[in-house]
Amino acid sequence: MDPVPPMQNRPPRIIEEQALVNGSGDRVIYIGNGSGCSLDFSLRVADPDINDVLLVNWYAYQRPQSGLPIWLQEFIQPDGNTIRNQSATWNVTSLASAPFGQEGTYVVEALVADGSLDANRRPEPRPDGTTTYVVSYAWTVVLQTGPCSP
Amino acid sequence: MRRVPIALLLLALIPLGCGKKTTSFHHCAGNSECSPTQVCFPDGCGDPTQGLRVEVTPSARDGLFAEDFVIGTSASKQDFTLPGPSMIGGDLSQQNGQAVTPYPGLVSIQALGESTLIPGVIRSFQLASARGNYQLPVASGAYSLSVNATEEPLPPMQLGTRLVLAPGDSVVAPVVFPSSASLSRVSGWVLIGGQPPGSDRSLAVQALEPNTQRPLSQRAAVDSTTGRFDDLQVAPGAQNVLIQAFPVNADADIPRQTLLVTLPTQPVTLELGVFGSPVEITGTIRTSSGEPVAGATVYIDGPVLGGGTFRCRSAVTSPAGAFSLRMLATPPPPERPATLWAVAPPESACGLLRVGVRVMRPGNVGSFACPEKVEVSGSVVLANGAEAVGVAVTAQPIAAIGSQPLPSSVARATTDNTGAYVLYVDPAVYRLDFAPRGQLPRSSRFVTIVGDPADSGFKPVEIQPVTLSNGRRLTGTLFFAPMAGTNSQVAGLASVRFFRLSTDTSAPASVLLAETVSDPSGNYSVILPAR
Repeated sequence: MDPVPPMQNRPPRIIEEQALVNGSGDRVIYIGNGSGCSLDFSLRVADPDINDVLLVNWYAYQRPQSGLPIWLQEFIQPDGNTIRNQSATWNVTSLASAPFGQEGTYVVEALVADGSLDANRRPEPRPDGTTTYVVSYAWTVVLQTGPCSP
Repeated sequence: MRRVPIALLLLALIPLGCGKKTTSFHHCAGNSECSPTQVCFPDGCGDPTQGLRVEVTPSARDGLFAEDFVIGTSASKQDFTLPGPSMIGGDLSQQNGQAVTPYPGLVSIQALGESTLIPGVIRSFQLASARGNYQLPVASGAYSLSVNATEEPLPPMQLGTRLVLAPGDSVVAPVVFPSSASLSRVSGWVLIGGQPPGSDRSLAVQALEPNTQRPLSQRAAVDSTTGRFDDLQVAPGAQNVLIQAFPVNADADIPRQTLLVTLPTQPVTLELGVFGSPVEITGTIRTSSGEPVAGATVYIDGPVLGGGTFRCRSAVTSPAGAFSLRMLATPPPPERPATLWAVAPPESACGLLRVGVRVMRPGNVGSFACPEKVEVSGSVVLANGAEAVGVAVTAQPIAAIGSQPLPSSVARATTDNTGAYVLYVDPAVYRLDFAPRGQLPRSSRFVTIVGDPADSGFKPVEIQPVTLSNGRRLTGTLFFAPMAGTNSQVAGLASVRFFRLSTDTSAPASVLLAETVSDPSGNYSVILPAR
């Protein structure tokens, strides 16, 4: 009998029920850039491969372009569970400065990968050639000059 | 064994501390500083079984938002029953003489607030459109409500009372727009060098509260061929208001201008002045040692010719550290210069750059050296004194120091094989979070990183070692409260977060202790700090 082929890597998943911004499930957020205004993004992630370290890169931009800066990079370590206990969070404490500040519409995007990403945000194979995956979740932030509540 | 003289040992140790500034956490560093039943929390020693706050979010996607609870328990099991969604609702109406009549137009509604049990946890909920009445599901908490009429230029409304909702509460908050007759109205002109803006320049005006910049009117369009704006409807009771003129498209090369007026007023004129055409400028961002800084976000903000203010569209530096910006010309001295800002990516050693610049003509404005961030080093040990390896360390900026802006980026590191970590941060007050692997609870500490100037940036800072706590497991099941005639159902895939209130006045009032997600059967399990 042939040996059982090795298990293939499986992609991570974002738990959409728990994708939050300031406690809400809204995908579009209207907010001011005044003093004290903040945005608290939070995601829960899962991976059936419970030993995978998950990389989460957070981006905020008005226009997609190459070389977009990663505003926050975090790693979700294995904890024995498919759905990880640790949430991926980005708490933006000031909307008056970069990457926000100027009035306009922004995309805030979280990329969750079970490997590393290249400069063009594509998943890179592991050293042993294993394919890795990336999934994303995005919010639209409409920023206006003034206090938090328009 | 050969003995080394103590004096020689001391001499050998001196260079280790040379040039490094040492700093302590705001309160304790480990449980050894506390009484035998207490745990070292960010705000000092405390009883780990008391004052716990729990946030349970069943499913934000389905409108089942957070419900908060207080528990004090040393037990190993704690179930939660979720009463159901909290709701703000009411009728929409308008004062009409002495009568109040239903308001027929569309409105958008936003509730902005925070958890009452877990202060510092910000919550905001919005309803894009409602007519006649509204129902807005929210998390438990305290909210202020703002309402915008989207079909007519009525001023935005802020409900005077703060709405407080416990889990499952429904609060009735009727909205009554002021009568049309009670509104102040402002009209006038917006001119550029004495002339109407012209068809290629779309401008708008808005009345703002002078101190808070809170909108007192909706935005009103400016007629580009005449410069005229009419019928800016301002909330009743406002006396001194700021009238602001600005481009409709934030990317347009047009400055902002404001004028303080006292109501009632004759028609007003806002003059944007002759600000000229934008100029293309280039420059470079480098470190103090001359290395290019890639991926930095650069922009210029400040006064421009004509008397207005302008913030240009930001650019991201190339791998060579180069940037290109499109900026309006700035006024000559003695007017204050504009400010060039460069915010490098979190992993960069380049700190926040804020430098005065004058933009007079196209071309290269120069090469700017960013200050180096503060190098912050420390170590983490387990309760038994062993090195804590692989602990994720996060520095979250929570308060600015003096005139320094609050840093916008979070610094992260992982402890090495000796339990040591190094972070690079701008000066500010930080909450350091330590998330160990395995069955240990996370710990947090507050620390103030003061930028002590050195030759090129700031002196390195060494923080006292932090000792992690032991943990205890708390498990339980999440239930939805039974509806009439039905049995309780479990809440699967719900987010569960445990917090502790903080008494540190310089920091947010609650600190995350543990978090998890319930399994499909509604069961959860977390590790909380313990002695």
